[in-house]
Amino acid sequence: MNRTQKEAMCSLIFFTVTLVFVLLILAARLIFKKDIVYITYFMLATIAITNVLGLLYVLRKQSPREVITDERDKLIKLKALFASFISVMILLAAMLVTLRIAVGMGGSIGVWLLTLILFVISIAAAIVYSAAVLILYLFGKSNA
Amino acid sequence: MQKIAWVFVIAISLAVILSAVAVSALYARVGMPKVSAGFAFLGIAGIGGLAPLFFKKDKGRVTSDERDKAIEHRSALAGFTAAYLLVGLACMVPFFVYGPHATVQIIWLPMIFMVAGIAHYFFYSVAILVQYGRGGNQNE
Repeated sequence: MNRTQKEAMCSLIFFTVTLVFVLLILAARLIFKKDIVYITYFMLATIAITNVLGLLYVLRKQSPREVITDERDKLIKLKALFASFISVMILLAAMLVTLRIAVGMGGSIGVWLLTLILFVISIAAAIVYSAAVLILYLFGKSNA
Repeated sequence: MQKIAWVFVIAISLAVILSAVAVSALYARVGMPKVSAGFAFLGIAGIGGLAPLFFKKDKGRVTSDERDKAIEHRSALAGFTAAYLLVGLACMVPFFVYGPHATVQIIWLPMIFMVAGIAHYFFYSVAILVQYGRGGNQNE
């Protein structure tokens, strides 16, 4: 596994965990009308630990032959970036249309919901990018 | 590719300028909900989508090479980045300007997506023109 794959693996785990925690906190707040403080602390601790462990894993070379980056890595990163951007736009459109249908034509929403939309699409972009990098390496294994 | 990019830049600029003028002129007369009719001028930007029909590729000639592909990739990235930044601004500015307890009418939400799309094509086209412009006489 080279550095790009390790980065993708770590960020995939990190952002998926963050998204799950955020959705849990939101569900608790919106459905049960409760602030679960210990989940927030647990989330922050998990994010900090995954960050430190991920950084150590990425920076430490597992093999002396491991190269930092080459042309193929750059191409894979570029393709993954396009996949990430396109999925963000599709997700944004889906969220906005869903909101419009749910609230109705004359309705209005709190501006905090816009920041939440931005937060969710940013995390989704990172997840799609990391997953795309890993999938592209998987498909190109025979050429590696 | 450059000719198509020019059509996009002109069509989008014209659409944005006319919309801004119409919205500014209508705002004082008809007020807030009806003023959104001024955004209809943004439809002019769609003319850019017809450009590939007018500037067709020459058959039997090599129309693009590795450098063209690299320029296209970089421009697409520039377009997507600009669109993403605009979405970020559209989502964050109301929060900081009006405060966390303010509300926004649902009718404005599709506008965010539309503006992001227009910004993508505009910056994509500008990036193409800028990158070819740096190449001097080698572009034709």
